[in-house]
Amino acid sequence: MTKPVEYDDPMELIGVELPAGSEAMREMAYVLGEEFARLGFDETRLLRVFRNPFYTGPHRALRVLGEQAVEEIVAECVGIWGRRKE
Amino acid sequence: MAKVHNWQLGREMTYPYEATYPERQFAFVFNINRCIACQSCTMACKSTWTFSKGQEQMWWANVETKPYGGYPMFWDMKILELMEKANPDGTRWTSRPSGDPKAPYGQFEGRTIFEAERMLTPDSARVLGYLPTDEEWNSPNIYEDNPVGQRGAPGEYHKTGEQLPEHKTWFFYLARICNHCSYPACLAACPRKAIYKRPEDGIVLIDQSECRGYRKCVEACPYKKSMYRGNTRVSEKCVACYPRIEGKDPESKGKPMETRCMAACIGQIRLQGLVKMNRDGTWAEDRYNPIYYLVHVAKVALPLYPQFGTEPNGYYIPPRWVPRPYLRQMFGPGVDQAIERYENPDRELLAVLQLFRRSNLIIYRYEVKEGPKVYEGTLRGRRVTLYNDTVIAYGRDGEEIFRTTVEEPIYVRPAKHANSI
Repeated sequence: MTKPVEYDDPMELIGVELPAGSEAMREMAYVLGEEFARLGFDETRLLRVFRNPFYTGPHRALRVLGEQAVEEIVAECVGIWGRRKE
Repeated sequence: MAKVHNWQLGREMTYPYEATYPERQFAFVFNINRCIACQSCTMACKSTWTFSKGQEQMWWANVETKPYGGYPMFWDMKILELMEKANPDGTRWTSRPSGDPKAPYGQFEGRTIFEAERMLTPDSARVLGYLPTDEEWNSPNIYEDNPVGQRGAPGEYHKTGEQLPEHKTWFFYLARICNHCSYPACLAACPRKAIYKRPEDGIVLIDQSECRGYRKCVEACPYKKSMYRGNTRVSEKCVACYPRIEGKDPESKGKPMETRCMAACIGQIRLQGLVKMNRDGTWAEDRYNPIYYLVHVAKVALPLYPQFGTEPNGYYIPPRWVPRPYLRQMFGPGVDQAIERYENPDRELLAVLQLFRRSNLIIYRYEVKEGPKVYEGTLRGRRVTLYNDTVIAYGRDGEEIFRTTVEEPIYVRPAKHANSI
């Protein structure tokens, strides 16, 4: 069922999808991978972020790019940044 | 109108007053790649400066989701539209970014908000702008991350969050405060000359005893960081936490200290300092000042909407995943180079990025001591070599504030103390 747009409803979502290259999603996955690996996340923990649907950004990247591509990205990022010791 | 040199535009521009520059300039760098919109900065500012009656709609510091949101609503779209009307298809940059400190981003050929004569009404107006409506001020994060629920089922939430509506495209969080511009539009527009820029640190303030609440500053500031207070009938704005900058906050023990919004940043996206100025308005070379390094040497931090012409002193490391045309509009032509360098940081940049939020004191100088090679490999087909260098931060009087390493140790709180403070 689709609710008709109510123009005077302040909660009406007005965001529109803006065009972005197909590489934008891969770029976002790399940024998440690198920044979180630098924060000390290991491979398992980082993959959990991507697999958890509550984290909509990373999870969408996983859905679009596929499990294998995300695993490769995570492995690459953790390979460089993930060697921090407690 | 006087002629002043705007180095961010790489050219002379008109401005209502003759150029004068402070000895040092309050400036900051925000790394957008790390902002998670936790709003800690927003609340730190609110609880310090704008918690009183009459200030309810004021958020001197705010974080908005781009491209959906804005505070006040649509602020940047509205001023960009006005600029387009004033000079159709005129927003052009010529020449490429270069090493010239008087034109590092090339030259802007369009008209700034001070140069849009044919759009200015009445004739006495000095700056192109608009006055936001009350509705636009009232809901700072509306239309952004708020889930609207399932269509056709008002008031009901999904039991599993993944079915909530999501932005099926890119977005990022833009944290904003007053840019304490070198050519402030608020100051230019004030008919009472109630707004001034401090000669010692370039902080822009409104003299509350001189202001009569004409709201010309609110209309003129393109970033909409001057705000009107209804119950006192004068305007107010971000004061850059000047008692902290002066070292007069009891906590700072006489040392210059970063603002509340900087200190509260848990994402460690913020670094603020005071840069040395030349007599001609360019930044004096201060190679080992971290802000100077990020803006003029590494060139990873860029001004927000430089085409407005106010020479803002807030700089941003642009988000890597966002389409470049959008970023070029927001941060100018230096975007591609900035992202390229941030993605492939050299030893010095990696070390300087570690300076963010390790201390609340203002860093005046840093030094990098080389450490051992700890990794060699590839990232996205590029060769990467990582060194565990040490970066040392020094304060105003040359005293060491702290030192840290590129491979900083991580301490994980044990489960039984997970929520301890």
